[in-house]
Amino acid sequence: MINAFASETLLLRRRPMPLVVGGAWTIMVLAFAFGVPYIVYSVLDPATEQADRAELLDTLIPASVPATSASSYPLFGGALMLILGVLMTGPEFRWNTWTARFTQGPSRTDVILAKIAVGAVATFVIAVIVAAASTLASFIIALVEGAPTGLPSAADLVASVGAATLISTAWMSVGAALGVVFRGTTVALAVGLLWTLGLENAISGLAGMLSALEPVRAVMLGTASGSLVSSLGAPTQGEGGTPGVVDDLSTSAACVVLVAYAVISTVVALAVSRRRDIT
Amino acid sequence: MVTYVKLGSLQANATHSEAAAVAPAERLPEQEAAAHGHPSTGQPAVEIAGVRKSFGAVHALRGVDLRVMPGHVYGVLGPNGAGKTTLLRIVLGLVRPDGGSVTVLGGRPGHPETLKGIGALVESPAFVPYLSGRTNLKVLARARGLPNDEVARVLQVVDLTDRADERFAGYSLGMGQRLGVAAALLGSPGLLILDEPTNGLDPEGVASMRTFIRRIGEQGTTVLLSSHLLSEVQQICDRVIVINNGRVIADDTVSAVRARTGATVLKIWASPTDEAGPVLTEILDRSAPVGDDSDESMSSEDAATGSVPEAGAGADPTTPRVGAGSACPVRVEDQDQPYWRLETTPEIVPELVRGLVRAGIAVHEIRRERPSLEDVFFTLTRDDADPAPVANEGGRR
Repeated sequence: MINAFASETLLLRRRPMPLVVGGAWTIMVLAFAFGVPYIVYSVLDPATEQADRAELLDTLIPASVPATSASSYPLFGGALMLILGVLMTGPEFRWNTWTARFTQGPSRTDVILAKIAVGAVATFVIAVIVAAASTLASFIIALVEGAPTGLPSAADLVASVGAATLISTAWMSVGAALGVVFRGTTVALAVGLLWTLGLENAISGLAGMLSALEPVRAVMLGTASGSLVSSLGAPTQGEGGTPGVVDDLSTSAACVVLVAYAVISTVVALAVSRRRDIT
Repeated sequence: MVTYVKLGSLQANATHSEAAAVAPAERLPEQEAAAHGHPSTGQPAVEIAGVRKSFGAVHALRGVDLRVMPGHVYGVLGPNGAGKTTLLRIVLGLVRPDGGSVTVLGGRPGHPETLKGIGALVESPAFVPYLSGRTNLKVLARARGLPNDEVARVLQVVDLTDRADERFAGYSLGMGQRLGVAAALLGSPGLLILDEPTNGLDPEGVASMRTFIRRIGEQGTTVLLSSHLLSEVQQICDRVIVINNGRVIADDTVSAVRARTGATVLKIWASPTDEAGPVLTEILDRSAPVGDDSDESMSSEDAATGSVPEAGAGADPTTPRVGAGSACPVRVEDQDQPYWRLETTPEIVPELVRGLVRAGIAVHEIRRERPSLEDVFFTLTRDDADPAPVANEGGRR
């Protein structure tokens, strides 16, 4: 397992894909969680919209970073991490590299577990970078606006990074499993994004009208992700917060659902890889 | 332990980390065992019994029995779709057989301990296209728990050190092939599985690769070499396995397989050349041993007498086989002077000469040659023809 992990770590480090996904996500968080709100803040009239300005500035200062930087994960970040997962496993089919990967010594189980474990480490690194970049951006905004520059507590930051990592890992695992199941990237990406962005949102919307769909909504990836973020103090979508942030589940229930997605996806990827002939 | 391996134009100071680098004569029994990954008790490196594999309605393997003894270079021959690659993939644990048993290096195929003793290049070399050759090898070396020094060693062996830091996507077919062989050599495995290793190499590279494979075979590494190039197998291998329609139809030393048909290849230079052909045909038709030279009747006869050995039949020589289409004289346009080529038994030569002379044809020269592996291969596979569907290469449908 250690050899497989070392091999997959080197592979992921040398591939541009995690840099592209991580870089794109960092820029998106900075742009949409801080850049756009700050522009809105800037154009609001201080004379007539002072309350709105103050409320908006509160979300942009360093003390709010744990909730603000994590609030984009349930919808947009999750989708990007799903793409990351698909790109970890899917291209190996196109390159026909599974043959070499599965004949070096580590078992198929070790190789797949190592791949997903390395992916989880990558999501953690991305979450840390996003949190750091968010803190820097919020610090600059606070300095420019003369707002409090006090940093959030370490516990809040750890909780934020932890939540972001758990959400990202769950989505990444689903993507990795889809890449294995569909033996490539194109169909896996289409199915994954259709499911998470299309089907889940449709069910989530319908559940408001059809109570029978409530239990389904409770175990959806997006719902669990949004609930975990709201537990960090981020305003829900209904309160004018970021789309995808909801309070349907408790923190512990959200964590259980996300862990279940990661575990089930890994088991599916393992089962398919072990059973399938590599031709 | 350091051995100097000269690979034609490819020269490498090959530092083997394990005993596999030591020439067989220099090896202690424990080193021999370590090199092959199994006890040095004469145990086969690969033992296959009754292995069957189907892909849907396509029967890729239909009860293969095979014993690959350590320290030999085996050539695996067969037409496209014969089941060669499926067999190699089963040995590697990439494909699971539907039935039968497979033991590789004393263990289960695909088991981590088994795989440590195997190096493989199956079908075309496959690597991450935008990583360098060196990085691709490092990824595989780490999976085996090998240091970067080992990557440098195998790159040197295949003469790819200078180009190792270029992206794999920019490699020519031959360079890719050499990188694939380098990957197979990581860790100096005791069992080397090479599927078309000279594919895409230039003539110099082909010669070097052949020399290299012969050398590592001489050093005690067991090699399973799949190739479409029959002359290559004849030059490199000491044993040959012929697979057709998912069955092993020959498994013997190269010389024994070449002797299997009992026929001789005759090359006859005569003039007028055009008139010699019909005369030769008439003599062969008249000749008792040749009999009916149609493919169909000869195949039927063979089937009735069981002259083509079944899977894993070993060294039993078959009954002499003449005619069967290959006895028909074939005009060969030689650069200097055209000649007639035919397969027949040596006993008929005097009758051929008499017949040609009686017909007023001058016989300038007659050469007798043993049939090449290619001649035997075509005879064996033609006579084993089976209309049932077989797998494409790699078992793909």
